[in-house]
Amino acid sequence: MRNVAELQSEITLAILSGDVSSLVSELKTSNADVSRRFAIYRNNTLLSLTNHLKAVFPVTARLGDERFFAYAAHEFIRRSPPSEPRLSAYGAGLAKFLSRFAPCRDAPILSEMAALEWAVQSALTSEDKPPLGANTLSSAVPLEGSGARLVLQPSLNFTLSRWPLIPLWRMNGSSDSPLRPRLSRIAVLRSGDKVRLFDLPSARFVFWRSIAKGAPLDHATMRAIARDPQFDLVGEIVMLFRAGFVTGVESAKAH
Amino acid sequence: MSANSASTTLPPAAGIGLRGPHMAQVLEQRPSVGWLEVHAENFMSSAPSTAALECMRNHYTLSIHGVGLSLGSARGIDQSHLQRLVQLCDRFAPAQLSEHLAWSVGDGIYLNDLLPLPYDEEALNIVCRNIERTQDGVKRSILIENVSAYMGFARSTMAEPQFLSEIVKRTGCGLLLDINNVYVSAHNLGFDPQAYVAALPKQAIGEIHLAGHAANETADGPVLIDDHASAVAPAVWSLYQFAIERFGPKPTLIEWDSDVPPLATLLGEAMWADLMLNSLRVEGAASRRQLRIMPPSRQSSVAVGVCDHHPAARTTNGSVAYA
Repeated sequence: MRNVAELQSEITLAILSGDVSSLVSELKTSNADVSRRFAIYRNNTLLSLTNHLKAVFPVTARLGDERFFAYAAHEFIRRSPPSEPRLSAYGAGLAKFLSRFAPCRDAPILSEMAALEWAVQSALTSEDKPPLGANTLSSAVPLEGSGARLVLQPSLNFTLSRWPLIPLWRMNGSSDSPLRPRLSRIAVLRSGDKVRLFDLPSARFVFWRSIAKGAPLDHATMRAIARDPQFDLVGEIVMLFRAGFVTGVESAKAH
Repeated sequence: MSANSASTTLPPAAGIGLRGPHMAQVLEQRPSVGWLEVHAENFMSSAPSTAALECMRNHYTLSIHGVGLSLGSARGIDQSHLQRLVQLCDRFAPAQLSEHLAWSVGDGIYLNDLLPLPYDEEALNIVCRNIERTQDGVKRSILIENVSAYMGFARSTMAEPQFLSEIVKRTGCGLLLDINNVYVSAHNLGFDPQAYVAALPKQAIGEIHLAGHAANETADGPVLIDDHASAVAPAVWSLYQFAIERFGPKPTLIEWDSDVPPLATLLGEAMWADLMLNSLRVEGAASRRQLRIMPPSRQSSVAVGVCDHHPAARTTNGSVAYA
């Protein structure tokens, strides 16, 4: 007879695989087929996790047809089940999974919409810190000089797509006209209990993303100017403060 | 009955399980209800709902109900998750903290379901060790809830009430008696639900749960599914009456997790529980029998979602269950 740890390992495997044969002698019911009763637990796991993924990725589910999404979600769950009970953290790998999932090969927009919806989910579950006011700019915080960094809202995250995803997301997957490919550089930010989505020009996208990754201002600026020689650094910084993106400033000396 | 201010103990009144769709309405209207219970794992991020719960805490007595600690896991509980639970308790100072007699993590995989344990000495040692670690971490005694079961284990040497009684004796925890789960398990596994309730240690009962279930037809006959998607069934109300006559008035929660109805429906269910609790205060068993309050009979089963694209579901009518 297995010990309890071995029994739980076997049940976990059976829930993910559907093969209960090795457990039948261990399980007991009153006048009911053991496999059928075990399938209730299996369905509980697969259905509840599928419902969770549908709730986090509603537009992806709608774009790809909900039944197809449920099938893809099952495959994702079987290959990448959650590792912890905080389900708000489950689904990070779905976009990558869909990008490699053979039945989605002809619909790459599904993985890109999933990446956007995960960015929305990540933003909504991130801390919403009090921003620094624009008056900080006129105070003694030294932004000039190499090495100074801006600390942006932790909820700010980014995704790229070959399609104009923001209008599609806002319309919950519906589109009045055929969707034409267009590169979208998207930033997502939590604002209270809502999210704000920005479709950014190339230089601004590079600038924001570099700062968010912790690059010093001068490095982020060089990257932005490489994309757009007319990049207006002062205007960009003022805009970041006014929009409430900046939560801290670290001078060069801090590093 | 109302208790519209936070307290350090749960009142012996009806509360409701607070779910996402009702949060804004409860914050805005502040309905009269004995207390609120939330699932711990829904408030372990910085999501807006966590800030909303902070506001709720000022107006309602709060109970935190964990669903993911996996107290039955042979490989022990996840210390990171326990730490998150500790932080949650520090932040919200709930009047009560509860978890389940179940496991949900196997080999590091979270199955998002409450799976049953064999009731033998080895499992008893595992559960007691995990409960003691939890109680040491949160620095309080917790309540353990019985879960709905669809199968048992050939190796079990104890009935569930005996297993729970041993846990109480060894760890000093209390019990959260889910009446609907007793009824569902009794039907599915073939035992007497009243005998089950009567076998529990009276002093350990700290809270009661009530919820709806569904009846699914299968090749083996009907199986009851603990889906929390409908009103409390008449038979469950009857078992509740039996329990509170035995244990006295206890904090009683109405849970509804799927197909969540309007808040008024949930409050209506809580009202029936409050009326039944209040009827216990009438002196004399004969008078109580004359005054016996029972909610009107309703449809006791509902259709539940079936995973129709999955081969296993076509033969089992499985649905998502809760505890």
